[in-house]
Amino acid sequence: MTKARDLANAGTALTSVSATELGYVDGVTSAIQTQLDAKTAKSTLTTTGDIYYASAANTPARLGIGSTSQVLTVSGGVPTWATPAGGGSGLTLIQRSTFSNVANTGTTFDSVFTSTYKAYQVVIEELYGVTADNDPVLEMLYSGSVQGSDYYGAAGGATYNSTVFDNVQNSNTGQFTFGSHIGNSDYISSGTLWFAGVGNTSEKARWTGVWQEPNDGKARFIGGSQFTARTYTGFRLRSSSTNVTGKVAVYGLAAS
Amino acid sequence: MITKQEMINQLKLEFPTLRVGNDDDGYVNLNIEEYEATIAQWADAKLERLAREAEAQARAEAKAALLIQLGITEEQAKLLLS
Repeated sequence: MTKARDLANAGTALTSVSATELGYVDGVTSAIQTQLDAKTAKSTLTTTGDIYYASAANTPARLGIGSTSQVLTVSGGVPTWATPAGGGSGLTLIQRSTFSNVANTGTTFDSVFTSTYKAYQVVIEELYGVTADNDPVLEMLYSGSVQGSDYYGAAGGATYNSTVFDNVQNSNTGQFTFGSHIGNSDYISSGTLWFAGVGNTSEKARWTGVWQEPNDGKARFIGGSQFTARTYTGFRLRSSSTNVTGKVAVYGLAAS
Repeated sequence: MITKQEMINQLKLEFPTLRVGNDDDGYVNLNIEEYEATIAQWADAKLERLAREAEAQARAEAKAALLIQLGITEEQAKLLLS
């Protein structure tokens, strides 16, 4: 530092450079430009969400932000944003909705069955009615319309303290009834249904599942189908004769 | 036995309006045609359930009467049929 000040004070040629300014280069041990060249430029990042990465050894590069729902993956040895193909492997959450005191779930779960997936898991996390002694009911939807006939299948089960097996029959019915007690806010029912034959081409939809009715301690095993072939786009849930409240999630199973 | 119209009237008192929807997208009331159709559907379902329950009750009463007539208990009847 003293050398720099000495230099600044040495002669008239340096009068425009102050000792303070010369002090800024104190401690420099090699060419300043060489040192600057070794740093990455802040200007490489031009846009919100940009990410630094090395496109080659010692070569910083910019990766612009991807689109909503894209994930960071690797292609050709460098990072890149990509849309998960068909949900990747396993199950992908399509929709999870909560509803309260509705006559039915309306179009809430329409448009959940598409050609993206081949099978779907519907997790009925909660479902109950104003009064417990109502039947839980499933109806298939196709682009907002309700399929009102041609349901077949069974929902058989037994109560916790009985060996007697009873069955809810669906033989060419206007809706699919999958239980006998939907429960109430003190006895919330839940279950899972798997759907196939929906969302892709005109097919006869089919579903299987399990259902529990805590109101009477009952477990039910469900198998049903819709004999009118259509490209079904969703479903709706309701009770046989009262409002319902609940929470339902729909997952898609990867096509391959 | 309650009539369908009486059941409809009861349901309308309990549910003067009906709605569909969910917490994320909001709720809308059913229009008058949808409301009437839903209440009528609910009335049919309730009457059907009442008929089923009455039938089950009648079967249970007939069974109890038969056991008395035969002079055996339900357990003895089960044993006989096993």
